[in-house]
Amino acid sequence: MIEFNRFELPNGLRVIHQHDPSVSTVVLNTLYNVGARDESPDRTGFAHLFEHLMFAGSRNVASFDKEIEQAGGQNNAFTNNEFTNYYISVPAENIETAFWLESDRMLALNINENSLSVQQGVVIEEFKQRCFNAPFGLLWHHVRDMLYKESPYRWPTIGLTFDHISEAKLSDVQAFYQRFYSPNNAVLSVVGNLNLEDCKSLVNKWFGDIHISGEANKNNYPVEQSWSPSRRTEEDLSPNPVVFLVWKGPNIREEESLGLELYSDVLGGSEVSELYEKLVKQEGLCNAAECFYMRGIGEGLFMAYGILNEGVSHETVENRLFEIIEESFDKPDIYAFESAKNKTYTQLLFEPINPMSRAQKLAFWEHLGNPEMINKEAETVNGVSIETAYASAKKWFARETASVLYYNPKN
Amino acid sequence: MSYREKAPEVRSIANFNVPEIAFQKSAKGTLYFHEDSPGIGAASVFWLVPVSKQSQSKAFQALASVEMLLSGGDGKSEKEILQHIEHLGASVGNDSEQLYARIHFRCAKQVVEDVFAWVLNHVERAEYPQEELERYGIIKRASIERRMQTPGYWSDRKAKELLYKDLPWVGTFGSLDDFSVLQREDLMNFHQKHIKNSPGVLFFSGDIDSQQKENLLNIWELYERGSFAWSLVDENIINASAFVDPIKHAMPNSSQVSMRWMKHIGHLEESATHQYSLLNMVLGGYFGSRLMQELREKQGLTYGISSYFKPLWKGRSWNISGEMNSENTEKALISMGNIIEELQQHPIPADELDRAKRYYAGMFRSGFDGPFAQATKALQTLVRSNSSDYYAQTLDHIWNINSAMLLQLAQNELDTKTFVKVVAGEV
Repeated sequence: MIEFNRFELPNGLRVIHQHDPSVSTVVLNTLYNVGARDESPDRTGFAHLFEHLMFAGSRNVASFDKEIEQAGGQNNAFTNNEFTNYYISVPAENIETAFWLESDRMLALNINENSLSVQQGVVIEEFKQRCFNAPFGLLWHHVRDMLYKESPYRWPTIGLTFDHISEAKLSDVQAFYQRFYSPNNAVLSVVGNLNLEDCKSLVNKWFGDIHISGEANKNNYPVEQSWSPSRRTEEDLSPNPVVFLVWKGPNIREEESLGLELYSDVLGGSEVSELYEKLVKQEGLCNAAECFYMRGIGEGLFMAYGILNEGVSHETVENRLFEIIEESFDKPDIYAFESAKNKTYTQLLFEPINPMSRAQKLAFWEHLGNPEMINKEAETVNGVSIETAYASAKKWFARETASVLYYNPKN
Repeated sequence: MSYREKAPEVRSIANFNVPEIAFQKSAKGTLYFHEDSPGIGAASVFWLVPVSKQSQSKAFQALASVEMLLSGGDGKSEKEILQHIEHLGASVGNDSEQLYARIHFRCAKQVVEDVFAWVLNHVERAEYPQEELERYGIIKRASIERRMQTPGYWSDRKAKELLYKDLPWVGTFGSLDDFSVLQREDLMNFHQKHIKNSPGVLFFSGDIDSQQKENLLNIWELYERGSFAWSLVDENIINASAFVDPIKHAMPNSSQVSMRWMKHIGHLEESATHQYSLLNMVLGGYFGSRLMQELREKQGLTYGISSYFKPLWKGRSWNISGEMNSENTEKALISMGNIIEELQQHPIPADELDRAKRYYAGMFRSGFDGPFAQATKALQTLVRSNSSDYYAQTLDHIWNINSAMLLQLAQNELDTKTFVKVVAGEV
């Protein structure tokens, strides 16, 4: 049981505090309700570019990283389609430095042409490294483009093209900051060796006087409810051809999604799953095969894939993937479903042990309106019935609603 | 003046009460480490077997023997073995590192003995079914082929092939075709000689109480064991040659270059390792390093560039690597050269060195936080043959290092001609 405290400042900043005297550090985690879903179609990748700029200094801080390092701490951030998360871990005796830095960049970020230009270069290199120089680097570009036609979920966080990143203007950055980096659009979680009284005092001192600069983000995860399944063939750096099947499904806020996650673990989450057993071991069609269910705040997404062995056709594997999925609907594997629950239970034991992941989970659940979920996840998993999970799978993962992507080796 | 204009006072991390990393021996002589964290419900167990690529007679023999330990045995198929582990809610892995093999699992406290008995039984009785070996070869080959599509794979490989050509367990990679000549007998022989009944060192951490620890030791000692000893060959690397021109490895589908410099550093006294660590930090070992600040944060040439050590047996390799646009490579190399030259010619300014030390101290102390931290430190202590007071002395050593020492070190070690240089990708 993780005991935590929750309070809110008059400026709308929500704070979750969790005292852990067993560690020497304190984690300050700030989640902003802004992600790639808030970008315009001609400025994709912007939320992530902006995340980089948050380390370029602020009104009273010349170098964010140097101050953290001087305090013996470390920091980083990540962006996804739905939110942007910044975290700092510092020795407990230097926690005030973390409050100073995090609050100052919420108060007044120092945005200038030079830092924008440098970070554009950095992010373009990141884009190339991730997307053009590794197998499956453009997978999420292809998948999202097939699933969505209007929604901003149709591009990945890194952006559609790096031209969008290089075209970003200082005025775009300033407007984005004013619009989204406001205390009423953020959740702060403070976890580690800091008691509640000191935490409140530091939160009030450093964040209490920051004014609201924009409305809380009301962009309610605009995922298209309907879609037309599509087919596509692309070239990729993978030396072996690949078949991907993709479906949309319910998101994390919908009860059904947890059952689908467990179902996907049974079907293709490990080397003893049905997909792997049949496609890799028994039939020798693939050298890798798996499936997973992604539970986002706005979207749910199910992907099953097989990486083909030499001489095997895309059509054969596509057909077998469909058949294995369809066969699974009417013969729920009780033993494997229990195993999936047991594995999830163990994972939930390990996840919150680290103060950083505890801070991130608390902020995430507070962002979704229920931080108490950190203590209820195991119970919720336990309550999922196998019948419900498989019925949901049958409803969502029909052959006629799947999008199909083929990869062929480049050159 | 607003209170925000002045940075809060920062305290440096004084030496603290470093927990003692103490190995124990069971009555039957098993070497083990145990750290109990009551109440968390989560348990972690791993054991180290002193066997690696060094002991193999065929390419991929050690890797396959370790990675296929749970592929079948004692009348059970791979599927049956893994299904039972999953049903217990555990996750298991077996890695073949350069110096040792490690078998590890994580699970809930209440099943730790069950998982250990099951995993250990099948590790000891591994039979490596032929059909599993054939499949393993196909899967592994495909997986390595995918890695070969990245410039980083080739810059690392080419550098090692040149620098460690006389040290096969580091500098030889084998051909993918070698998987097809690997026979079940090769794995059985390797298992019989190096893994079955092998002396190992056990590491118990998380919520494992004394009684459970005794139970785990009893399970381990059901199998007859010798006493633990390393059986590794000292690396004896003497590179008299000067490496001036970079090796180029062209990759037609690449749109970037992976740049890598690598040199060998031999055995070091413990106090000297801290000087190397600190010099490396200032060079490229953390975000505030000169390489990151100059090449990424000032010039925007790369997403990441860093320097780091990779441990061998008595020594280590010193690496500098980063990915960048091919048209930026020349610029980056010039900047790197300037940074290194500066480190050789001028003492590191006091404030810069102080920041590196404070960062180091903060990371060092937080490295002891959490229920699994000490087992990790214990593993490092064993592998690096560190003295029992290594960690207790670390901060004193770090705080006592000054700019003059690092200037001397940079002059001795950062001669650019002593680094193998590789550029792979769009060259």
